[in-house]
Amino acid sequence: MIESPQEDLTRLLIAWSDGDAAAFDRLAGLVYDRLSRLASAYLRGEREGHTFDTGALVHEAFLRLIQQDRVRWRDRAHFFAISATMMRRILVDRARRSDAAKRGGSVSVALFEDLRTRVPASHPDLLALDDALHDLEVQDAELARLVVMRYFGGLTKDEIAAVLNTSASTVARRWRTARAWLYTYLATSSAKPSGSPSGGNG
Amino acid sequence: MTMPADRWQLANRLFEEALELPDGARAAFLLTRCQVGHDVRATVERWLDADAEAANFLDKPLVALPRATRATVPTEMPERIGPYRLIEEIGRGGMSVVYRAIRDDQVFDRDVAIKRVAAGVMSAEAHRRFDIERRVLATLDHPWIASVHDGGTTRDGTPYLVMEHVNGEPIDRHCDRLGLHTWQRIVLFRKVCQAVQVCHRNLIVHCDLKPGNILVTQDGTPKLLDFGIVKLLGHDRASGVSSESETVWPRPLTPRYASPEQREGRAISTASDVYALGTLLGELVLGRKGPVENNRSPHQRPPVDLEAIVDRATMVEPAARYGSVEQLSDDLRRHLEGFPVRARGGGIVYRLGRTLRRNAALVSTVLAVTALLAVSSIRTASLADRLAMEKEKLESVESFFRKIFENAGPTGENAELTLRQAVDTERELIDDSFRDQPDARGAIHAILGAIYVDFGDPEQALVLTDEALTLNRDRYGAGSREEVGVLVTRSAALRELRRHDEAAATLQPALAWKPESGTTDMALRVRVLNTHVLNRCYLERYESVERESTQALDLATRYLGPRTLETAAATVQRALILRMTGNDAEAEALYRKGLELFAQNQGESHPYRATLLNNLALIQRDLGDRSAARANLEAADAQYVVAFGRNARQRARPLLALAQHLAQDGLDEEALVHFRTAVEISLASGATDYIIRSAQDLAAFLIERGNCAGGEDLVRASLDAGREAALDSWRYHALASQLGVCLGQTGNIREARLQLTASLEALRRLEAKGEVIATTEAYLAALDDP
Repeated sequence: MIESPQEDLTRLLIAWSDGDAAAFDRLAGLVYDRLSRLASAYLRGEREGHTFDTGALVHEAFLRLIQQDRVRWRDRAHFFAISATMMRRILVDRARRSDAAKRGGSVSVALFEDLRTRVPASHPDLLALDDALHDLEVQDAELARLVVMRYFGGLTKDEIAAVLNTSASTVARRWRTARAWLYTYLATSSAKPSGSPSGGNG
Repeated sequence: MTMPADRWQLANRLFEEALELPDGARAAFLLTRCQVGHDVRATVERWLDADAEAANFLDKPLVALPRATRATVPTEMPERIGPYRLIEEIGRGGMSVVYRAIRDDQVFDRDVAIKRVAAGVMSAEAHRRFDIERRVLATLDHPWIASVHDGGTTRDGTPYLVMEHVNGEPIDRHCDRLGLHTWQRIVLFRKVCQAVQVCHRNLIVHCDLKPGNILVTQDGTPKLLDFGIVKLLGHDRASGVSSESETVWPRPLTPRYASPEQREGRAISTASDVYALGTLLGELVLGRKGPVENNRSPHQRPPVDLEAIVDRATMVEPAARYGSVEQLSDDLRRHLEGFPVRARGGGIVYRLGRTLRRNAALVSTVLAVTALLAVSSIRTASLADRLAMEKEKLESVESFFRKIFENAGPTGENAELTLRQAVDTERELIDDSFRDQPDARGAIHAILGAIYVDFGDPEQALVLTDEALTLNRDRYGAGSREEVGVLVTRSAALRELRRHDEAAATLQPALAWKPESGTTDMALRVRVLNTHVLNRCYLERYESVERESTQALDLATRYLGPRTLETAAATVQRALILRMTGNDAEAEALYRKGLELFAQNQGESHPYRATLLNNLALIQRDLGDRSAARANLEAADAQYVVAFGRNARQRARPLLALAQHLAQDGLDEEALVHFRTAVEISLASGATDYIIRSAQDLAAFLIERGNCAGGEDLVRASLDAGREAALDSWRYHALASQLGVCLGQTGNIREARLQLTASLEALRRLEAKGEVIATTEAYLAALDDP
């Protein structure tokens, strides 16, 4: 916990953006742990009354994790993208654990209770969304990535465009498609216990 | 629910195209492209419905980034800011950019550094933060902290700060580039500690200490930079910062140096800076990261002490770290000077080993001899007591100590257990375990007492020796050999407590003890005599121990041989007595011999040798052997540099003597350089006694030359530096009065009179030496009646 893989991360990030695909898995593993800890720190509370957005989890995590001056701007965007993926995993894992706990586990998961109350009305049930994203990945992996970057990472259109190597306007259009697809998916699967688009509100 | 790829792509394209159209035209558009009932068309229709229905769906990212701290496209460098012309970008942080700039109107032609909020960051928070950084820097007026010149707001409302441009390199790079030795790195690092202490004294936590924020200039001066995310502790009237004093701003941290509490968003305190410094230290001296490792031969293991110090500073729990940066720095000093470091908590084996290796490393002769004796007290105490013990007692005592060693030693099962804990645990058992062996009990108490003296806990030593005395008296009666040993220890403990009269009185019965022949008794007798001589030295009664010091040296030489520290101590002490009783010639010869014995024992490079050389040189100077004196002063100075670095305050002593030497030769300019260096080094060390003494010598030189121009600045700086700590010392006011004289000589009569009058009053109040008061009075009178 004390030793920092900062250098490692920076190196991996550069390697990955230079086309070393294996670097991604290493990068992801390193990042998950740290983001998870960060997420806990934030969710534990210090910022009452706020949603995640002020926490700026991914961004801050990024800045904490790599040496900015050695990484090109475009690669930073890539890193955001990875972080967003990690953040999805973290938040969904938590939601899943919380769900299990509620259904009969004895462990109290204060963390997720906390998280749940902060999710604003426009957000869906995380587990349902995650299921939907899994299906979307099968259909159109890039579109799923876009959703993850946008929704779990808060990346801007420009940043997503940099990662997907396309234009910002294309990202905007694709985003609408993704959103419509997800909305439809969640609405039609709302008979299932995992909830509807507005299922997370109640 | 998945679709074949071609249909999926078609649906996507149709959906996107339809979105371009007004609502009413979409149905018709779809009709022209797909047949009724085609699944692609159904899909696109559903999507269009969804798009209309759920404009806000997923619209707000679950995790969004605040615009203010966004690192995005690089900011363009403006041509100028205020009256400054920007030259180049030299740094960039989470929300600010730093440029090197020059003032256009050439008011000063030195470069400055301008820090400004990065383009696009316009929050009120950023303004506030800049304002606070400016105030903080203005508060921290210290040569090792970058200073702030100016600040303002550009026309478009962007706040900026104008700061000293530090032309240096990050401390880690500096150390590696110059290939600095570990001790040189430590000396430099301790300066950084000093600068951070200044922050902490002003209730400011830096929060972002890392090599990039600690630059070292070409002349080796460290500079602390970037107070952009400081935390202000409590209310700080001086900085005028508002009541919102417990503020720390979220900002990208440097995770390697950020403490766990910072990373996790818990409360930040000065301990967070201790952590960052500890991490930095680890890099600098242990090569825990980066290139240092490469310079080290694989055979050299990192010193265990330094590892312990780094570990202690970087504990996860803030409360487990050093309590302050000062303590960290102090432990490093202890390491440099060869003392046991506190980080290692005091495992007895370690501390014994460390102390026995060290043997002596104190600054002045007299104090150094104390250390010599303290060490020998352990060695000889255990030795003598062992030899004198009967077999049964010896076994009991040995098993007791073995147990402590096993518990407290680094190899034991509980390496963390401190000496104190181990001893405390065992001590409770002493009385039970040795119920039927009062003699063993007495011996154990006596040895523990000696150990406590040596380890700097004389109070505890007094308690232990008290018990030992009672036990031994019951067993052996008054005046026994056992009792004498305990009395020596007790006397040393009292001396450590600066209770010199009691120390002398305690030793009286031991002096009356009549030893039998034999090494054991002779060793004890030498210890008694050495202790007695040292006690008297502290009482400044050198003449009274003429006979004893001679006898100690004689016995030590005859019975203990030249290779023992007892003999070295007896030699140096005898030389000191000779010197103090006006027999410089003999003193010089003996001093040289003491030096030789010491070197045989401790090696040539021991820092204490520099002190001995310095003292020897002073004797030689007084004897008129000026060339020998000069050579030894230079040697002493060089050895201090090797041992403690160029800025070691110890250097002031040989440098001042050298300066006087040069002045006598009429080499005023060179003399002044040496005087000034001595004062500057003292000032940098912050040691008040060194500052005042050095400045006094400088002032005396200036007065003698009748011109204070070459050093008035330093004398004033010394008075400033010493004001708080030395207000009650007569030396401080004597220096103030010297400044008054200087000023009078230079014709500044009015200020001279004020200065002298104030000094005189203080000197009288403090009952300073008559001659000092008389001199001041005389100068004052001369001013009034030119």
